[in-house]
Amino acid sequence: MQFPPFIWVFRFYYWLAIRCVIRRLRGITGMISVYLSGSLARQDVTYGLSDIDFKILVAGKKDKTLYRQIQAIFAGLRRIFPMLGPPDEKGIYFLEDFAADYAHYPLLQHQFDERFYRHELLWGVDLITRLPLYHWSQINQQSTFSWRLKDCVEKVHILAGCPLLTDLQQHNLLTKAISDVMLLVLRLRQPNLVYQNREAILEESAARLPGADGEMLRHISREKPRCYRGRLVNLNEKYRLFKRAVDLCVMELGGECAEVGARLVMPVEMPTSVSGPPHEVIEEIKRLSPAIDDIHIFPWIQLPIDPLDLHFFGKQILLVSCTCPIELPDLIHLRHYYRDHLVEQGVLLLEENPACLLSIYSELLDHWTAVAGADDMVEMLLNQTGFIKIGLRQQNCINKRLDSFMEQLGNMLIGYDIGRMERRIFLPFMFNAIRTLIFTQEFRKGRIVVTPSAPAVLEYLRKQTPLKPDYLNLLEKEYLQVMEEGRELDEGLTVKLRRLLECMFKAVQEKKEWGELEFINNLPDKARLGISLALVTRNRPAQLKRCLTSILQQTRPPDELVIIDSSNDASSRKIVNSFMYPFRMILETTVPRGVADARNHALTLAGCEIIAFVDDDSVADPDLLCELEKVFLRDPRIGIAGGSILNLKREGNDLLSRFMEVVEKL
Amino acid sequence: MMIPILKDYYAYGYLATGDRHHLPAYLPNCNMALRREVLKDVPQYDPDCLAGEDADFCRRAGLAGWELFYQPSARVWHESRPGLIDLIRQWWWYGRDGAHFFSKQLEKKCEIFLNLELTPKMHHYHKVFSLGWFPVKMMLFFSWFFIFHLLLLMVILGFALGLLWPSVCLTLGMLGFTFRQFLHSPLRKLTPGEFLLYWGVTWFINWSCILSSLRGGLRKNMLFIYPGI
Repeated sequence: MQFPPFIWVFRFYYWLAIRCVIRRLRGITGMISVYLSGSLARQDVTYGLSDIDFKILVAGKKDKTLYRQIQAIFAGLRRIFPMLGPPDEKGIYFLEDFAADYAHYPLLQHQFDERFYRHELLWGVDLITRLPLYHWSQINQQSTFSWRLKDCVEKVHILAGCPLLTDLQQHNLLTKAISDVMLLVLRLRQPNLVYQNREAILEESAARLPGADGEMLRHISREKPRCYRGRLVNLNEKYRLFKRAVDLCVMELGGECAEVGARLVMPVEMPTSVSGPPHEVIEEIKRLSPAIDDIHIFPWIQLPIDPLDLHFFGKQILLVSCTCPIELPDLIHLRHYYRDHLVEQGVLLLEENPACLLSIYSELLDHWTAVAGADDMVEMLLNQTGFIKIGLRQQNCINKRLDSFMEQLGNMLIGYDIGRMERRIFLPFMFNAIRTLIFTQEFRKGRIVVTPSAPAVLEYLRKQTPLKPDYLNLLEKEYLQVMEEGRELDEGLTVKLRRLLECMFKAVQEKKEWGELEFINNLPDKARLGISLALVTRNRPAQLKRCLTSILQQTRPPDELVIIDSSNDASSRKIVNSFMYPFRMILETTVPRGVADARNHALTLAGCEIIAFVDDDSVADPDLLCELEKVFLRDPRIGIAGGSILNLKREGNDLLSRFMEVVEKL
Repeated sequence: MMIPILKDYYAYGYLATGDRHHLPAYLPNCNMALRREVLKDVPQYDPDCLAGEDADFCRRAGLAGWELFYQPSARVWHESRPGLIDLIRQWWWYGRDGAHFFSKQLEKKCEIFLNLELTPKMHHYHKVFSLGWFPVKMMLFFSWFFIFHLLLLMVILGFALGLLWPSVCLTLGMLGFTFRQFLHSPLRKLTPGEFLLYWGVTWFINWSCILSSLRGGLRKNMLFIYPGI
């Protein structure tokens, strides 16, 4: 359809979409400019397939409501113009936070690089040329090296085992990967070197690598890419060279860091017991490759940046040691086994010789290049000594991470986001947050305390805080029941836990001791809300009797029952008085003046925190009040809660009851 | 109040508070609980609301910043009206007395809402047209039911005036669109007998609601059409 009559229509449709977006966006206060980006700005558009990408620059700090407003505009327009892409973080930039993001986020730098993305100003002030954007050569590229290394390793591990690739393609892939990584190594040594092609890189690095590996690299550089028929190097050998190159790169990255500053020595506290994966898992791993001879288990201690980063919570590191280098096919089997069975339990590190580790899963490379990033402590785990040496740069890194964590947690606590949180992740979130607060507190005192899982967190709280052990035992039981048996969360317990988190946060923020938490002990373990049940009735004695029976059968009885009777005779009153109530009952008789009036009367009489309404012609489920109480405990911002209303089947089979059954089916 | 059955009316969780294009969701009084602190912002039910006082209460609480939450596991069985006439009379009241509640919600002089689902939900009505100035106050809810009958009238008129082809086209379009909506609605789960029963009863309910809402609206000096379920 990319020819004249159709393409004119398409072009008009795309043009219309862009005009509509601009028209809607320019009304927003703080909007600075709208750029067209992506394929349309590059003018290689396939009409009907290409989407329209925008870059939207907004004044001020990051603002969630404005962000949502822009998203809502796009969501609305997408009904008519489906080719409008979803504007996510990649599309909307707030200028006050832009410089900081740009400085440390390599992807963002990439996105504003003219060689990859061309921008066309659609509306507003042309700011991109005036933004603090540096040319590619001006940026400190070394800060992005660990990302690039990670990308490269991930690519090889994903593609090398792919059955769709031919032998030739696999060779090509590995050759390219080796030269890419070697380029990083060479650049780390001499930043401004320029190489013409991959062969030149390989030649250069072969000259610097001593011994057999250098020879091998030279052979690879002489291979003709199009015909590997007379090849001198086999695939496994190439893979070994690739690993060697990655090792070199990691060492270079770490070496760069080691020069900076003095080193602090911190004592480390590890949890006493780490329960590993089941025995058969270890057996299975050992079976996968003959090279594997030993497996160790360590607690994982990555620090989250975001309180909701639950990815590693409660996981372990399985350190697999091999006596001889592991071959590519074995590695691929191991990787598949890991992805299918172990991802939930832990992470897998492969140790081929004591000096270096190989990651199975790309996220592990974060760990591995941690010598550069320094936010984890594999080194410490491997040494298993009681002390860890931390450089100044590493300390700064950790402090920065903890500060951003504290800021985000503070925002969540202020915004009541915890109540809105999905219940499934509530407990892991709480323990993750407390765990990081513990780490922060202790790190500031010059100690490293590792509490990788909920039991370890509770163990720490038992020892170091004045909290009563009964409550902590209760929490542990609840955690196990919810996370392992899949039982529903008891909302009554969460209120105190939330209070505990708030107090710990305050203590860490104001640099106080845990002793301040003493008063938490005085709170009830299980929160409870008083419920008044209000019942408005008029001239329905039979139904009223049924309703009162169901109220008396509640598993969580109300604290008070308010009945407003505006009947014409005394029969309803008689029925009300014929029951025995194990709670307070208030019966008021009024003249009938409308249902709203009667309910207002009930509101003035009810004394409890929650007022629930039930109609006289309905029957309550025994768990009704229990469920409603759960809702109100969950989030203090919930003002009104309600539940499902089902059809009460009446006797007889008349037209109407059949109709109600049909309605219920829908 | 205006929902006889609320099993799947909302999804579990926080309810939509309404925006420029939609009316807010609400919880009926039959199974509803509120926090005492809400009464500081919304002191009482509106005594002038003869029907829809719960919807009005929920709306005002939502405007004051409170969240509404729907928990489907909190269940109540509600007995419907004993006879067909009673049910129709109930919907007559809803239409007539609902005018007060809806006139309170009217932001502009004229507002038109549209929902083409075969089983329209109140908070799914989309505001398609609004005007700041208009000779009379107007709030119209166009459902598929109402539009279908309007078009039916046009088709009959068309045939009567001898416009054969436009009428045939309109009829085919109408039926095609209805079939498409039917495939996307929960009604496709019903057997033919159940479908006929549903259609027959709701036909009476909807017309009683439309006529009474017209009458109730005139009492409030507005043009108001609410087409029932």
